[in-house]
Amino acid sequence: MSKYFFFQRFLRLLIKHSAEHYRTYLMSTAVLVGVMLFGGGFLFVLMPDPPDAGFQNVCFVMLLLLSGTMFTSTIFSDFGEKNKASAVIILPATTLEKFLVGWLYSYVLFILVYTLVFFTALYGLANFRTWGNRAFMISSPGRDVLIAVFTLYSFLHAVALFGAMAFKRLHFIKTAFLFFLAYAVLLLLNYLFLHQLTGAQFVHVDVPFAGLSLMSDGRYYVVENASSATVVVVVSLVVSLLLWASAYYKMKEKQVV
Amino acid sequence: MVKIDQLNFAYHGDRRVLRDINLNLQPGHIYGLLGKNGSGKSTLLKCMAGLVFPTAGACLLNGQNTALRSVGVLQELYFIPEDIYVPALSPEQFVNNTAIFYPRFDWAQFVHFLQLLEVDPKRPMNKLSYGQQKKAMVAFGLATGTRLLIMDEPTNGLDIPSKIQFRKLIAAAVSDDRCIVISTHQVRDLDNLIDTLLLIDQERVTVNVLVDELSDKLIFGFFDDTTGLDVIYSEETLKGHYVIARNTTGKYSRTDLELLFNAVVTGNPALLEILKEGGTHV
Repeated sequence: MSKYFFFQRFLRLLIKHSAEHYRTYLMSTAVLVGVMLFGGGFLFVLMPDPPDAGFQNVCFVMLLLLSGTMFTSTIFSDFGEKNKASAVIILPATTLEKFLVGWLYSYVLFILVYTLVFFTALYGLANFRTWGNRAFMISSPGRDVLIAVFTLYSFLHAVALFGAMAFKRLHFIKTAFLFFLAYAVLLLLNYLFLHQLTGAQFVHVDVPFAGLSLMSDGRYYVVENASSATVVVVVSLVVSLLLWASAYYKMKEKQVV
Repeated sequence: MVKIDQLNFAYHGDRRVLRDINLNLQPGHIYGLLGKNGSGKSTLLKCMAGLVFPTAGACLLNGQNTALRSVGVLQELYFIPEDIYVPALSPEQFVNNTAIFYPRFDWAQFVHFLQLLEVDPKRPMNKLSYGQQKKAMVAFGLATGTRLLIMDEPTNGLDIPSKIQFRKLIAAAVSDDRCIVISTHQVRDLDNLIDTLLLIDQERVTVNVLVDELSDKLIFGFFDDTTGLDVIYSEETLKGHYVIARNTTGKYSRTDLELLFNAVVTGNPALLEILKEGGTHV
């Protein structure tokens, strides 16, 4: 039996977690269905044309990121409450097993449930309204969109999971606040660094390794890095792994004070 | 079984709660941990359970550091905190999902304990009264069969009949291979239950004594006239002087933990000196 992970025990933990939390998760799923049906229905009524693939992709991604991070930031809320934290910590299972249960629910299972709910709701809405002879087609995201979604969701999931362990309450608000603050600081530092390096007047600066645009001698330049997309994906995944690992160690060091 | 070695604990690094605690807890005993509110009882219990990490020293259960929270250690200890959490499951459902983590869990015992404590095994625990919830968790903790059972203020929220049931249950549950540690500030709840008294005061364990030894060394009682008695501590009551005196005659008297507690926490070097004598260790 491994010191860190034993599959049978992990399975028992998963069953225990499901038995104790399934009501909350079912309610959350019902809320997600409600948001999609009511929100989607409202949009369908307002839209003069059937939603195209781009609009569907945007809705899919935005709702996934929003609902996914909200859900993830609550997944370890038991650790923030003294009485619940004691019960979870003294349960005879390894920290890795306890961490993986939360990770599995908020990452793998959430994406599966979300995707199922999204396309079921879209299918339902497709029968809700017609636009004359203009047909409404349900489109699935392409490969590039999926890579972007996977990368972005992994990154934001890791941020939310770290926040779930780092804060005792108001996990989502506090994590989101710090995330946007860190993002603004990163942009500012990148701007200052590039300005110091080149002396140019930048019009637009993104995160490090991404594109930028600048003014020089009255001319407008757009600098594109051909491999920036790959770099951003790789850096995001590495940061995600680091944040997941940090969340794990936060759990390992959790004290009931 | 439990060895606490030079344990120190401070909240946020500076608010010291425990200082140089050394204890050796043996199986087959019920330890009563007493102390004033905020004296560090709960913190010491949490250190034993690995829920908080000492700033110095360690707590070992069968030679393994509890702060590492290894599965082997967790299978050997069960901790019932003062404020318990119960999921929205019946005791039966809870046990179905949780007992499997404890290799020596005894189903029959659990059912028996629930019957004794008059807890409905089929009713969702979150719908039970606080006292009933606590009783269900005590029954679970006893049935886990862990070598170390730690209970923090277990009698809080229990009515008088339940406290009596609780005492009977604990007395019946202790075995040669099991150590039970109970903390309370309601000293009377531990009367006739514990066999060893631990008392925390001013960040230290000031008393660590077998209850039987107490009655050998001290005499407790009401006296109108204390002439001839080596009085160590006395309280004025309507019934006369309630006294702790040195037992020079070998006469037996019933140990009053509350009076002893008061004597210790009000600062009584003579009493502490007597308790240190002989087999008693502080």
